[in-house]
Amino acid sequence: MDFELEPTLESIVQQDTLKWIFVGGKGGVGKTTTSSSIAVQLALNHPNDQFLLISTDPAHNLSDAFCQKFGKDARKVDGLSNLSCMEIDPEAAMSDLQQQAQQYNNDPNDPLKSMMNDMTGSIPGIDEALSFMEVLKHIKSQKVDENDDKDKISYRTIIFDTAPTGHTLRFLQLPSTLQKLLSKFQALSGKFGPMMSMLGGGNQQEMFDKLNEVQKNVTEVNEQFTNPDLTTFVCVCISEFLSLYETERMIQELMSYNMDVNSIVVNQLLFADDDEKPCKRCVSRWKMQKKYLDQMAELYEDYHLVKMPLLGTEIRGVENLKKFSKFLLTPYDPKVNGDLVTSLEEK
Amino acid sequence: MGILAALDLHPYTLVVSSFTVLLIQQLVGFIGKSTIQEFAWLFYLRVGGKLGLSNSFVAHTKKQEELHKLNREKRSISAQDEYAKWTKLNRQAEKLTAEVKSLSDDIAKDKSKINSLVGVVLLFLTTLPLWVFRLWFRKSVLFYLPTGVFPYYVERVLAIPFFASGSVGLTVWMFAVNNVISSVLFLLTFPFKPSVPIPIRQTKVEEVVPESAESKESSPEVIDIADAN
Repeated sequence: MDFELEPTLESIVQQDTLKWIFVGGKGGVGKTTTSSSIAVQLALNHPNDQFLLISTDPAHNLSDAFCQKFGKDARKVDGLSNLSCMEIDPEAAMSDLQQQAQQYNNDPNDPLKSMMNDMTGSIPGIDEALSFMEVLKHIKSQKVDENDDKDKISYRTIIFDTAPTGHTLRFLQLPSTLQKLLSKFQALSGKFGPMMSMLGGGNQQEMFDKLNEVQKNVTEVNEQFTNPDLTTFVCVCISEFLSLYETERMIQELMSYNMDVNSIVVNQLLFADDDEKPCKRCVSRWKMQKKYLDQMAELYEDYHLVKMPLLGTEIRGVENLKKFSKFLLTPYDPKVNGDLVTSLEEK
Repeated sequence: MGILAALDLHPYTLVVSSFTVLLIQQLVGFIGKSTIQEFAWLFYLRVGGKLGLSNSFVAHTKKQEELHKLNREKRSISAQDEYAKWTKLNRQAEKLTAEVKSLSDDIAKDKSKINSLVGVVLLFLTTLPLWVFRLWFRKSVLFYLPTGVFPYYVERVLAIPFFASGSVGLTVWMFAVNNVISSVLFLLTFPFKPSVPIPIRQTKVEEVVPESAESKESSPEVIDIADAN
């Protein structure tokens, strides 16, 4: 029996329980377009629910994709009343946090301060975790209605357009490390706490509390993110060697975090087989793309492999995104849908 | 007290056994504890492999060979042309690498276990018996010297610490045995030691000494410099 999975993202769009969708891949493969498209399709298919699309990329391009200025706070997309977007800079959130930490302890001569900084700075994934916590806090503070519950996220699904650099999800490996470290810290603070407070510390306890809080949050988030009913990851790539290689590495890494990955979107395909006036370059490049597509089909047979065409222009604006994103759900057929390539309105 | 009651040894047994233990101790010191540990490790690998004790080492060798084969295969094909095949190999190689790492961790653990075992065995063979002897037989006389052989002051010295003149206790016996064994060891090994070149005293005057002069064992120039100072 052949278990070929349908080459669409329908399972993601139709799945009722999903709370988080991450879209990731290397730079320039169409992450933003794909995440916007997924968000648009979700919003179109569930008109009664609210969705949020977040970009954590410092080089923000959601604004460009939707031709509308977005900022730190969620704002509704014109023409799609149940989709909001926001662009946040996790680095900025991080530096806020550091300033906060400085308030606890602003004595430059305190040796414990630098020790604490060094220790927290050297845990792998702690930066990512802290900035992610800030992002989450920020999301929680975003409300669709004035009278929404305070501690609840008021969106049905949140779509993340992750930054191409770094490992946004590296903090998923954090809970176990942090747990060990914190238990050590606590043992230490139990022993030396009185001495520290005698030495004029006294604020250390707050630092420990803070770390404890981080650990609690990280564990909670980790539980959510490794639950395939709640979270999924969509890989975006183009049909070229290096992009495939990076995708493979990303998938392996995500799998090592126990994260659910079952969809790969292959962007920028040329589909040059049935062109009326075939251009030589397109035909040969399409041949190359087909080569890698075949290899991918062999490698990722238990994944949803979504093939998306390369269009004549940039895909910008809600209307264009709606047109394009349709093909995330119904496979693109160059014979029937070929006019899509040139039919986008220029913005 | 049953064990200590069994320690009611005859003085001559004590003489022989303390000699044996001290001999073992000196030999261990001469060979070096780390050499013995290394040897025990090799022995464990050889014998343990047959008895099914050091499985991880066998598995490690096998896995490493596999990994080498995989890597060779991976290098022989083009990643661009046969991407799927290459990636599958790569996945296998990564998995194997992780396994090899965990196995070598196991082996390191085994090795440290063997090392500490050897340490314990050596402790029981050498240090502990000596302490038991020293504590338990601190007052027993090992043997008496025939009267008139040594002058009285020598007899007094040999009776250290608190024995009657003319008797010999553990303290002096162990001291003597230690000295004899180390002297014998020294005499036996001395001819095989690498020769040490005659040290040259450094002079403040910067003189270019020809290289050949340094290698000669007793070159006249060297003596001259030494004499001049």
